[in-house]
Amino acid sequence: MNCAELAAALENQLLREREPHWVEEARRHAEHCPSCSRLLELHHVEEQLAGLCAVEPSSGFLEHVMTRIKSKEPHRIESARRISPEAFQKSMIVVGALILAAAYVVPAAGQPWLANLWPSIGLMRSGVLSAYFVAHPPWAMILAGVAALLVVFGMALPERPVSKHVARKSTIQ
Amino acid sequence: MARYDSEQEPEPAIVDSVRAVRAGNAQAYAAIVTRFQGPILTLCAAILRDRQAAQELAQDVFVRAYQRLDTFDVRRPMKPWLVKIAYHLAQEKRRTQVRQAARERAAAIEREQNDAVERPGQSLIAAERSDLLWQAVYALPMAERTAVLLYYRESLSVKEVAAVMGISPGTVKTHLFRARSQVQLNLRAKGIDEGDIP
Repeated sequence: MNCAELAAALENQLLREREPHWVEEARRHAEHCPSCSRLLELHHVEEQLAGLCAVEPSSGFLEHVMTRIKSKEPHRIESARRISPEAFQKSMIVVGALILAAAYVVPAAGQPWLANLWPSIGLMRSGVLSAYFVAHPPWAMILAGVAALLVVFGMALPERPVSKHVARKSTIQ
Repeated sequence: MARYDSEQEPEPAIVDSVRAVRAGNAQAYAAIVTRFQGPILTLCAAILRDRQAAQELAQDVFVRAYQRLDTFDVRRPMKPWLVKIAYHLAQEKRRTQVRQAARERAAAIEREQNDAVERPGQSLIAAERSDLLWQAVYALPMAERTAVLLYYRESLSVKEVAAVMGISPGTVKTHLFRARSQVQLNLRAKGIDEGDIP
């Protein structure tokens, strides 16, 4: 081994990544070479760093962690923060249906509440939708349209796959 | 020396604990905490340079890991996975520390009490005055001391350190080279030869 080889090797690779016999050879060479000795000395710091003492955990560290995790259920914490797809789907259908029902029974100007409920049904049965639209205010029609879209989207959402956690639990039971 | 080049194998006992926790036995998590509390705490302390904050952060790391245990691949070693969580949480905490320190400094300047301002981590360094090597490591920039801790103390491979820190293996090697030189200079500046360190 010569100086150039040793310098090049240490430039590209850390001392502890070298084979033990290579390190021994490098040390033997460094004994007679002051410049390589300084270079190799730098790498002795590696041994010191490897022996850095660990920071000890405080008393009760484990108990603190275990107390904190007992109040949490794994796998459910993240999902609990956001609404589940099933709940969102059901909410959309329920809200849409409620709005649709409200739009359907909303009276025309001057009419008492529910006054047009039965006439509306009659008009729809006879297929005279234009008369139905005339009997209702425009905003009620827009509302009904939005509500119908909500219901359709809610029903069109794909079913959520069974979570791994639930599947696993049911397997264990 | 080959162990530093290769990825570590998952420990069977830890794999069993993970499976037990996933099956609903939360108490089995204690074995995981006991096994990894030392490395995680040491890393947190090295990044934050504050032992009390490191204790709290290490707890957060284990709680976060528990919540995300479903995402852990039992075919891989757990330490790099935990270290990655710790590194990201420590970085967030450190940013908060820096902002808080900046606010404290600004308030101190207003009160014309500049001399009374304590730098983060100073108390820890003072408390560990006897540990010369730790002082030298604390003096390194964050990236370098993190790389040093993970590579030398925790025996992660260069590739694993790079994955944890989100940098290239070449950059990790550069950090390690600079860190070694800097530690040696720091020790010499204190008039200490490496051989004096126990």
